Amino acid sequence: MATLTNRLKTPLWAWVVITLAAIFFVLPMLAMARFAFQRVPVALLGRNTLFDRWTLDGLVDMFRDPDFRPALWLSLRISVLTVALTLLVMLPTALWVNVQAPRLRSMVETATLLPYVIPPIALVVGAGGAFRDLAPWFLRSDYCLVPFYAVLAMPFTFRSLDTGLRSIDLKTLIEASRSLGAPPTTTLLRVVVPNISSALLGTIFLTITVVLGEFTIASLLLKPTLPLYMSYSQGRNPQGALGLAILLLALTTLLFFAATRLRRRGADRKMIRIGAMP
Amino acid sequence: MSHPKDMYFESVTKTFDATVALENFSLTVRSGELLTLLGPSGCGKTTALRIAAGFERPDTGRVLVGAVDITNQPPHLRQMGMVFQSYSLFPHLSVIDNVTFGLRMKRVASQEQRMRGLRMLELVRMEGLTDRLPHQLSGGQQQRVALARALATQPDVLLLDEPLSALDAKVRAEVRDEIRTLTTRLGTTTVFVTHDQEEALGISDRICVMNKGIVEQVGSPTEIYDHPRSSFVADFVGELNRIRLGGVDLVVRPEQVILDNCHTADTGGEIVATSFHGSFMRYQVRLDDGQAVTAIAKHTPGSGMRAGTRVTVKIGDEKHERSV
Amino acid sequence: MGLVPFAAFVGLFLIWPAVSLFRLAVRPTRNSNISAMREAVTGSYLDSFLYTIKLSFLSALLGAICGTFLTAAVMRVERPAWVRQAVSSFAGVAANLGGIPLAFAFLAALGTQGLVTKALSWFGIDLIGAGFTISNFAGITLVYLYFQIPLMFLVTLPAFEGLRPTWREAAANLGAGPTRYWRHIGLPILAPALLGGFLLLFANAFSAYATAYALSSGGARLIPVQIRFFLQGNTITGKDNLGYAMAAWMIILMIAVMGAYLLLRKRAEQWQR
Ligand SMILES: Nc1ncnc2c1ncn2[C@@H]1O[C@H](COP(=O)(O)OP(=O)(O)OP(=O)(O)O)[C@@H](O)[C@H]1O
Ligand SMILES: [Mg+2]
Repeated sequence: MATLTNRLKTPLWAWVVITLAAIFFVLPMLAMARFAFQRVPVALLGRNTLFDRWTLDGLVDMFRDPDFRPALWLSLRISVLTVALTLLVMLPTALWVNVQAPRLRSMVETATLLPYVIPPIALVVGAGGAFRDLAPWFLRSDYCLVPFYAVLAMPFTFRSLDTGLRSIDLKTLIEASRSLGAPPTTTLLRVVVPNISSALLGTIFLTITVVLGEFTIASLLLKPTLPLYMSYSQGRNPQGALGLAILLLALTTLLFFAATRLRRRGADRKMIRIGAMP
Repeated sequence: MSHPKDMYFESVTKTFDATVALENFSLTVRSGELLTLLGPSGCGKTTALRIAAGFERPDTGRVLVGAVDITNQPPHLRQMGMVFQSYSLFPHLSVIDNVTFGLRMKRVASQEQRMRGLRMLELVRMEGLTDRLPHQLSGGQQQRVALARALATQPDVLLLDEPLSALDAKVRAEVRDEIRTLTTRLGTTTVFVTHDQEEALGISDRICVMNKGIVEQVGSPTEIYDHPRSSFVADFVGELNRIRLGGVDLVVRPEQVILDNCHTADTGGEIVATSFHGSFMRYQVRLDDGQAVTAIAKHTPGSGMRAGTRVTVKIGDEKHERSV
Repeated sequence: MGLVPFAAFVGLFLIWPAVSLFRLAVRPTRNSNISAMREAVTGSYLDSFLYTIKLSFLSALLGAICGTFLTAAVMRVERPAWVRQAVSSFAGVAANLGGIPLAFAFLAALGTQGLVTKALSWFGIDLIGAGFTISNFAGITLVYLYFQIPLMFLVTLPAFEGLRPTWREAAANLGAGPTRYWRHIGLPILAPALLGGFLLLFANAFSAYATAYALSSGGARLIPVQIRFFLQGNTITGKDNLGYAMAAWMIILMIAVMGAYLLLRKRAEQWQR
């Protein structure tokens, strides 16, 4: 589109702002990477020592730590279960809203924003009080994190699924499939799912990023997940802890990019950036 | 005969990367007239308008109003009113605030702003809805307000870029007539862009037919229709049959083709399809030698013929089009 | 009907805990005759609230301003098309970043032994001497900006993209140059989105726990960390009512802020049509 602006080139101030932002956002990451992978104290850092003693030892030590594996496995198991629970609850909801009750969409969408009204710290404290008397076994299990993580991921997962469903003509698809005599489960698995596969995959990735980043609830319920392990090992093996933080960040970034990539493929542009929020 | 408010494009050329949008485009818009830019999609109509408004700068050539060269004047200093295809009302301002926005920018006293705004709204018959927000209006109402807003500052030239294309047929005709009466009444010089030839023929004092960034012909609607200067114009404005009868190549308008259902004359054919358009009937005829002809006949009750009817084809008395 | 699983899920794992929280907060206190809800907003606890509000307000304000400028800047970049894409994708990651990794990164950069601290001292700037540490008020605010600015970017980008070129052109036609366009058209149209973004940032900062916790000393005065202090795992502080009350107040504040946010968002969407 021809606009008034595109005749004028990008002004200098815009580049200045973007450059400053880039510095602010990249520098801490660089500093963290240096700390994690270089065994030279900051005080000795200079022109001569800049390339000295870069090493992965901290990270390797961490992988050898007996507590590391259990934390990793716990986080992975919780990821899988959270993904399963999310799909089990949110997919039917999104389908229902798109097929049967479009008028309820905005209500459901607003409801999925509730985790912002009840932040993790309040949620975990309330959950502690709520379940302690009625179902103490629930909070004792490591898997009690699963439903809460599914709740925290709700704002992202619902939007991701809803966007995917909206971008296809769901109603027609379902009616066509029914008229050909397919039973509802076949319709769901053979017709709907393949058509929103990229939205589904995006939802899964977003859920995993939430699980791998969550600290508050695990910390208050004393569940030894990966982020919690990272926090505790900071004292024993700071280099390893920072190295792990970088690995997790890289993984999260990758998953996130994959999710947005996928979303762009299926859906219209306007919906892409549910990235963070409402 | 020049007038201080005539607008001139003088050999304007504009290219975007590889595409030539306007090439050596020269045109005079006479003060007070409604001139239509007509042409197929992508022929440079919008570009011409945007250059007049100052949103694009020509590569070469000039734009003048009277004797003043405005080629390099920034858009907000030009006295141009513009109505866009759609969605140009400011969404956070009420109808009246939209209409008076230009006056506010010109620092007209607020009493007078409101008075003139209300008068403009009256002219477009929107006086009852002054305090609504744009999203509470229908498309036709929004375009009327946009028109009032563009006219409120009494611009030298009113520029309309397909202002009717987002509207449905009935509202379209209504707003079109409104534009015509209003600009005539106020004597506003108007450039109207459309790719709809019927619309162009109906509304214009003069039409400028464009093709690929070049002016094909400028003239009154009847001139353009009756005496097209090129085959492009003839084809684009109105419909044409190109047929060969009795060894002569003919170019005739559908309404000049007369169908008869007695079969005496030598050119016979068969109606293959009909369509009813209310006041007239359209027939697709296949001649016995395989040529296709379109004919239009005025509709009177009981006058219609069915597909499959055998007919003879005659060409009306009016002067035939030259073969071009 | 089809919403039953969803409603049950939300009810059980979100609403019910929240309701229990309020129930626990208002239950009579053992060794005090004023209710925990009252006590949580008096004296030093009130100071904690005010401190948290001040910090959230400042980080939201700075985040909103910087984020808006970032969006405006990115909107003006059309040529290398990847710039906008890269910034959007990065913002999506950074807005969700928080907690341990973020605290690590800033400690490595601006801590006493940080890379940037050291680099600045080469240029003769003594950050620590100037009273800046990563865990005081200014430091925490700066760390929070790392996720606040990207969040603002994500919220305002659709609003900026929703500014139609024809509005700018129509304004120019009616005699408004760039400055007057922004003053009368651009900013007023963006206003709901910008204000909504600010509210969202405020809520975001107020409820941030992990980052505050990881920055230890300075974060200790923030309400989320205080709540944990009173309700810490096994320790009996005898003041757990107070923790519940603080969390309850937090939810009340969030309801107000997010409610206003939703109203503004609705407004902005109405105009976008
Ligand atoms: N900003 C631009 N960048 C690149 N090419 C452009 C730009 N604006 C117009 N063009 C090209 O210039 C030519 C003329 O465009 P213009 O918009 O003037 O056509 P138009 O006659 O208004 O067509 P339509 O009836 O479809 O609106 C087209 O080939 C178009 O692709
Ligand atoms: Mg056009």
